[in-house]
Amino acid sequence: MVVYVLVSDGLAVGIVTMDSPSAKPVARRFSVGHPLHLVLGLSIWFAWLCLAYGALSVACAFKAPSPELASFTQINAGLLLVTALVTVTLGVAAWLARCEAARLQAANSPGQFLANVAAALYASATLSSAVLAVPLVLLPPCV
Amino acid sequence: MTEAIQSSPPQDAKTLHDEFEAVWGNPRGWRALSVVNHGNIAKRFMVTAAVFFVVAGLLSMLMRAQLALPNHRFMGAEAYNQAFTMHGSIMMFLFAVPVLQGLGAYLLPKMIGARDLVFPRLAAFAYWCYLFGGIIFTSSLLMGVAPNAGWFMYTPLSSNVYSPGINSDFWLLGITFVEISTMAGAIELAVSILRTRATGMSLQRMPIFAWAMLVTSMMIIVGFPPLILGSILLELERSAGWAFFDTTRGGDPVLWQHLFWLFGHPEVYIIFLPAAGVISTLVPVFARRPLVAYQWVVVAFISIGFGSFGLWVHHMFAVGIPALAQAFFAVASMLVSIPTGIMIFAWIATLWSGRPVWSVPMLWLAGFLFVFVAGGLTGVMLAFVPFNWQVHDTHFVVAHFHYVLVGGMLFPLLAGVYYWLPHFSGRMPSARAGTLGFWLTFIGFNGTFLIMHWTGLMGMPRRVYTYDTDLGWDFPNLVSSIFSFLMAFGLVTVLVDWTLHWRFGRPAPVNPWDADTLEWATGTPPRSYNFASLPPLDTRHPLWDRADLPQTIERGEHALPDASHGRRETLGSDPLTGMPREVIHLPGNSWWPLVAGLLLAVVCILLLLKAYAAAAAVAALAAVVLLRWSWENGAHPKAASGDADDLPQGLKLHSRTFDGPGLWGAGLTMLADAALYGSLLFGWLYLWTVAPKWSPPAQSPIGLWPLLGVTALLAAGWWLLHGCVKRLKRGLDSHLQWRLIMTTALGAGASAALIALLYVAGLQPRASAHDAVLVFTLAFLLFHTALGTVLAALQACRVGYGYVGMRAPYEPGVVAQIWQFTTAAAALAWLFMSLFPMAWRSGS
Repeated sequence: MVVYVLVSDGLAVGIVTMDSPSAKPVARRFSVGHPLHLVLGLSIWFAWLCLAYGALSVACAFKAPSPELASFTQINAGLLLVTALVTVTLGVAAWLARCEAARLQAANSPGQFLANVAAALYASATLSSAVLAVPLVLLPPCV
Repeated sequence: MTEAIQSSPPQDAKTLHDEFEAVWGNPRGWRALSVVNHGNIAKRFMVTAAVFFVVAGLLSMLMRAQLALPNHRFMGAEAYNQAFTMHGSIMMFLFAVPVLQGLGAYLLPKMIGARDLVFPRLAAFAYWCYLFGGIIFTSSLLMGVAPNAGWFMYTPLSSNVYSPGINSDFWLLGITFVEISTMAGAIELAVSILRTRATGMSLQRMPIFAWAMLVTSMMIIVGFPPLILGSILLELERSAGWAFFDTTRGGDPVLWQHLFWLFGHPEVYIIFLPAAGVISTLVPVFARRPLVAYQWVVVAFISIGFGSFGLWVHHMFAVGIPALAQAFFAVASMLVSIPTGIMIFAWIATLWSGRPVWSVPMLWLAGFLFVFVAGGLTGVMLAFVPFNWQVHDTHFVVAHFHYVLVGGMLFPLLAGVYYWLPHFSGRMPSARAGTLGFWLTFIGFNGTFLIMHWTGLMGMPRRVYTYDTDLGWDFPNLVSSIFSFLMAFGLVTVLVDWTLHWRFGRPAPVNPWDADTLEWATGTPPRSYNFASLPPLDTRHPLWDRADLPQTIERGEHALPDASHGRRETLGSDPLTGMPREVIHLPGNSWWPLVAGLLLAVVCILLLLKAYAAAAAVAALAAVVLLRWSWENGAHPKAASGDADDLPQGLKLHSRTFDGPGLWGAGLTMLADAALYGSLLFGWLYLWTVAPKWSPPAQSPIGLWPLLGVTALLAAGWWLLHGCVKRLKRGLDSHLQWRLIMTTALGAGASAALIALLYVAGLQPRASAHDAVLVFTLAFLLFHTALGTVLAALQACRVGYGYVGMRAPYEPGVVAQIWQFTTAAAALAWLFMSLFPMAWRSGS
């Protein structure tokens, strides 16, 4: 059994490739062959979008920075940092899932379909997160 | 084990058919109202939806007649307001979603190799709720009190200050009633797709339509609850005076917009994705080759499913949101066009690399491609905030969403109905009438709505019943109106063709389009039980790869070729691999769904009449009926007749296992519940941080400890139930009844504590939004606690009757999920409503 673990911002995201059906249930849940990976990446993206929107609204309600600062504010910086962490996390998940898909493909395993789809969906979530960061660089937060 | 249940010796097809028909056949006459078979229920869904489509279409004709001329006096403002509100609401809630769910309910069991959906009585109940809710809602038109605040019911316009009549109540109560049907249908379809596929039909061999319906169903399960919550809150505000959206009492009308569009934008894709599934099914058949990039189309479906939830704020660009937040949603709106593009390229590539055959369904598919791509392009335009502001609330937006919805849903639906018509009736439609109908509709549609883009760009606002002659809108409106009638003629031609083909259509051959999917192996028209035996599959294109499948199925050469035991059976399979896990036994015809639906309809009418005491009494009666219905489940003799020993080797009846469809159904119901509860917590936090006159008291009226105590009682009950399941899995059923009785006692204690808290806290839901949200949350917890308590008590009774125990260990696990959810909900309520306010006050 090969275990990859990525620790990001206190949150451990693990993708475990599993050769043995006797692997522990928790490990099985994180296998790329588990359907959880079809929804995990985009769920993280959606959660981040909602959190970013909510955090922005709350921050602007309580301590709106001067419009003259443009995008050079703590709000933009904080959101950009989290965006970067989410994007990197999702990107690594996509890469790991793709590696696993390639391995399964070489072994002609039926699990390759789910692994490929999971990799594409993680990549989709990565792109979505990365592109949504562009306005954070360009726009003031509360205008 | 699998091989043992795959092949059986050939039998006489006629004898086998008679045997199955005795178990699965549908009664005629008035007893037909008790039918639960998916084929009949689905056809009722589709026919009823078609009737509502005609009603909504007639309303649009009235509107176009009114707008044809400036200062036209054909309709007054009030009638026009009712017409556009009802047109949009009927099309979205009573036509688009139900007809697609009906199509899915009809096709999916046949496509995935099952004999019926997993919860046939629930399907029947969903239909009756839909029918009665639709009739109640539409009857408001006849009484002249139809909803008139727009299909999205923005408050404060829809509040009882500005809409004091019963109009908005019809919308809020009627649509919520219909949504019971939509939710039930979605849960049923999702569980059926996941758990009843043919042996070997792994996820990568699943028909692409099943993928589309699976994603759609999950979207409904998560996407509809915010609207259900919003509707309940708004109706409480209107009828009981509670404050949720009233700014003067600490509420916020923008919260309604958030709740509505959290549902409303996914709704567009809930309508489009099944249609995309239809297209992905038809294009390969007529291109004579497999779908190009099947895997990428699946990725696109899932991406769209998620992406659609990240766009809700783009309907609120004019509300006054910071530019940065708008930019998030503008970018997300553009991103969702990428998976849509992937699908379109996959369809084009399939046609390009195949040997396309021209036919009436293909005409509608071609029309779809043209119209939907045009609608998608204006969608990208609308994602740009400055342009969005310019055309906000103009006819440009009306034109855009008609291109998306008619192009993206109606055209594929008509293609699909033409394609599957021989399956429904056993007869072929007329190619000549079909072609004429298409061209009239296509030309009429574009003449109506292409022009409407320009009317909108010239500044004509939507939802105005007339206009002056000097604004330059006369000619485009006249052209739109003329073409709209041409479109109506086209659709009438289609409906006439469909009606006449039942009598005059030539008999359809077996598999008339040379399709690849399994539904064409069930006969044209199909048998009530779909398959006399359930075939194993090792391909995504069963009828292309195994042309003799219809014959071998009919001769009973595959799994479960026996109905002499009197049970309705289908194979329960692994969600990933499709390998058999158990035999699912399905209930037969029943009057309970009709009785429950009728009682809920009476509740709805009594609420409209503001007869609340009577409504509560009938609701209690409906609850008794639903519980009585649930009694005939699992190991009850009416649910699983005959000797259960005659099963294929290694398989058990699902009620004798720990993992039947009910477990999955309960899990998805809790997911929907979680979406609703999550929306409620969002509303609480939203009002706390944003509402301009939100005024929480200095001390929390519910204190710090009471909710923690309730959570502890619920957690103890859940622990006991969970322990029951674990012990049953270990083969121990001693003290099972006592444990369930103790769980019931804990639930009763938690219910009493919640009632006491509601009484002691002295909350004033009419005075402040703060207290209104608290009362609603406590009532939500009380409802779930009481439900869990009653179900635990019923389980204890069922142990006494021998319906639950070592022989049938399945049900405690289902009830445990409800307890688990309620415990988590109580813990979150304590966190957000007891702990968070205290922390907020100490921090500020």
